[in-house]
Amino acid sequence: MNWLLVVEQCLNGLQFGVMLFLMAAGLTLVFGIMNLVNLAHGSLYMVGAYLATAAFNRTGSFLAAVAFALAATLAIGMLVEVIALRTLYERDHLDQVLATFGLILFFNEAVAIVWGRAALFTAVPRALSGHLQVLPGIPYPAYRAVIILVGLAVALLLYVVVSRTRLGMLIRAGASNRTMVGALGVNIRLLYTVVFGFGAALAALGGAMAGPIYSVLPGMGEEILIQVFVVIVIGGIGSIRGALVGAVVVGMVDTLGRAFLKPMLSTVLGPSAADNAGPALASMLIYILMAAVLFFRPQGLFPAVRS
Amino acid sequence: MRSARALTLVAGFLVLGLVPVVAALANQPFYLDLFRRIMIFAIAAVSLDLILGFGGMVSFGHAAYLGIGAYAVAIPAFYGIHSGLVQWPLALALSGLAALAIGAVSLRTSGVSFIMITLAFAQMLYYLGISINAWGADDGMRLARRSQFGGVVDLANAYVFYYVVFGVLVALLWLGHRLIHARFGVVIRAAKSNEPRMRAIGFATFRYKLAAFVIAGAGGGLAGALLTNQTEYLTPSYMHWTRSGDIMVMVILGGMGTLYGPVLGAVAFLLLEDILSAWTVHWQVVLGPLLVLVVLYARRGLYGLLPGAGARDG
Amino acid sequence: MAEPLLAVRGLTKRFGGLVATDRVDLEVADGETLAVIGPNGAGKTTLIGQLSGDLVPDAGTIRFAGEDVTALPAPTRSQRGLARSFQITSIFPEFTALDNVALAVQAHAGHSFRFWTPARAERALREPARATLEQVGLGARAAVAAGTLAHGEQRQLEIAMALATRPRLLLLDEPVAGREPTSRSAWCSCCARCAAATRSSWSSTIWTSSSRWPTGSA
Repeated sequence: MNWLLVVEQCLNGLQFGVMLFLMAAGLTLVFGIMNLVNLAHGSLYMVGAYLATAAFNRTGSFLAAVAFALAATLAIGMLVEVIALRTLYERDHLDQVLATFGLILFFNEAVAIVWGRAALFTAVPRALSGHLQVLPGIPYPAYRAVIILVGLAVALLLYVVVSRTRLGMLIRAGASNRTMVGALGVNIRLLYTVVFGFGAALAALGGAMAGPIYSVLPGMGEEILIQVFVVIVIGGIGSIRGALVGAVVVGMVDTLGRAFLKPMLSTVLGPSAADNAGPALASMLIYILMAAVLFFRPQGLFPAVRS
Repeated sequence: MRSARALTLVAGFLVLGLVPVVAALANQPFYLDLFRRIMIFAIAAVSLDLILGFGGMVSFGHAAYLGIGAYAVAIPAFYGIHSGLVQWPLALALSGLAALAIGAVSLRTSGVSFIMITLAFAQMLYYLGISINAWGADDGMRLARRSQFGGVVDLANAYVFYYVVFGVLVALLWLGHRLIHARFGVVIRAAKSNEPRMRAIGFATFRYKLAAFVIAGAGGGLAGALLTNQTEYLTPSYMHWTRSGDIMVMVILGGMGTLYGPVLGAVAFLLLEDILSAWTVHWQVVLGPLLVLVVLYARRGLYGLLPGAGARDG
Repeated sequence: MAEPLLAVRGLTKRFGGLVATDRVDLEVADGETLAVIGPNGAGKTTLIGQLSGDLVPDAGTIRFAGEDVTALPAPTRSQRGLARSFQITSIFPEFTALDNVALAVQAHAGHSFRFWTPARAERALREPARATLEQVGLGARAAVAAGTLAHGEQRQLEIAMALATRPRLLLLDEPVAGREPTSRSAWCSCCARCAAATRSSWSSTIWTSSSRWPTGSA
């Protein structure tokens, strides 16, 4: 194994971590503020991916396609919140899990009706199809580099919004004392709808950027959702900082495990055993990591302080 | 009221017991197959309800045990061991062992973390299943023949197999009935009701919850062993997370925290699936919103609608 | 000199910047009754929580019956003979009053890995439970679901559950709070009677209250 490959795989890990973060941030925000477990968060990611891919293939403008997917998913998210999820805030988690499971079935089947069950493909936008020299002598696909930058920018933006703005203040206050925020005359229903839409848009951003590099097909949302759960459990539920750290760790471990576990095992076990054990172990790595973290810190690495 | 309920239950079991007769008379072997499948999922749902409904542990990974039970039949069969006396105990033991490991980690948390962790571990086993090439990876494996019981019980005979599944279901319900009223069941139910109080009066609740988790896992494994025999096929998709969701829906739809509710839920869910899928391939687009409506407006479950059924069954 | 039943040294618990219990020292001898009196927020419930094992102290040690129990979890302390009642009523609302108390008996009657005999048919659990229920004056309400009992009756049930574990030290957290002033006196003497009944079997009581002990008797 050479250094070129290691650096490249580290960057891939970071890029995957950033995608996980876009999902985890919305999910953990919605849980932290509304106390809602939204399994259908993956569906919003999928809807974003489909809308962006379809729009890109039709218009040829990637930026316009992403903007359209964001706006449309934001609207769909707010609509779902108003119709179905709003009444679930006061229910127990089991109800929330079941109802949002129902939404997943609906969304997966709905995209299959519109676009079919086969995967949808699209190319990387031409302006980003080249490579960047990230370090002297180490080229890296420009598109993936942009994903990393966008993700880090979103993390920064989230930090500023939550810690510096009036909306952020309401979000933080709403998480710890919702009746008090209501008493201050803030329309808490509207606040919740806006926050949910915001989370949906973040998921859609992840989905839209995923279109050109992953396959877009029904059920793609849950594939990533379950990994996002691992991120959130590791990071600590309700914590944005935990989501960022957890996402990068999980992204790295998963990517590096898939890339290097098999060659490493083959030096120990021999190539044929490694052929079998390598991929199996690599696919389990993040779950083993989760178990280890839970064993030492059942609340996750950065438990959110809740009153 | 008690006798009305008892009558309903007896009638229900009579109907299940008479399905083969009706199927034979009407020459519709399809119904035999359908109801056997329903009862297998009822076994999985009843075992899940032990921890979900009675114990308050929202496990979203029950399909994992179903899958392990299925592998415990298919893998020995792949190597030429067809005896059910090996396969079925193995299914119970391995799924119980997996539940022990998963429970030991996930029961350290509660609430949402518990839901997410059980889901994640089940999905881990799913990914493990699809990455093992020797045992069929995502294609799975065909089961050369159903579990053998030394020629005494022949599962290749559809009627015999039906009554074996029926017998397992009835036995499980009887065991469950004893268990939830015995000391152990009282502890599980009380820990759901008020865990801090349980600890204050001197119960180390963790070990009882873990034991219930293991029993439920073993029940799921048994259902899995039956399921591979039913389909004569093993696929990792038995462990897919949507299957965990389905089993959970059966429990809720039928009435969680009741013994017979999950059976009713399995009947309703799989019949609904059968009817909807005959009508359109996109049946899930109908089922999904239906599920949302059930959660929002009909939480008591079908069991609560039965004549003579109280909020809890005695 | 014999070691006291309970010996607390330097017990400290902070919540953020707030010091709820600040280097508390106290001792309770066998058969002694100790009243802890203070206004709301004085840290009485925090003290009880640390003694019972529900809260982990930041500093200090708790010795009970000659053993350091500071690191033991709540169920183990209960098994050693420490019982508590809760300030905010904590019962099993769907279970009958008798079932509630029988559970407390069950917790101290061997393990509960018994899967076959109905617990309600075990006389070894039902009879002591019924006796304890009579003792606190709830005998007539045994078959009623605990959640539908009147508030005062739930307080009585709360005490009954603590008593049924046959404690050596009974921690009563504000047993009088929430009672009608007119019935307080009668209830106090009932609690005192209960405490006395256990005291005869070498038991002690710590009793917290935000007001002076109305009856003045101990």
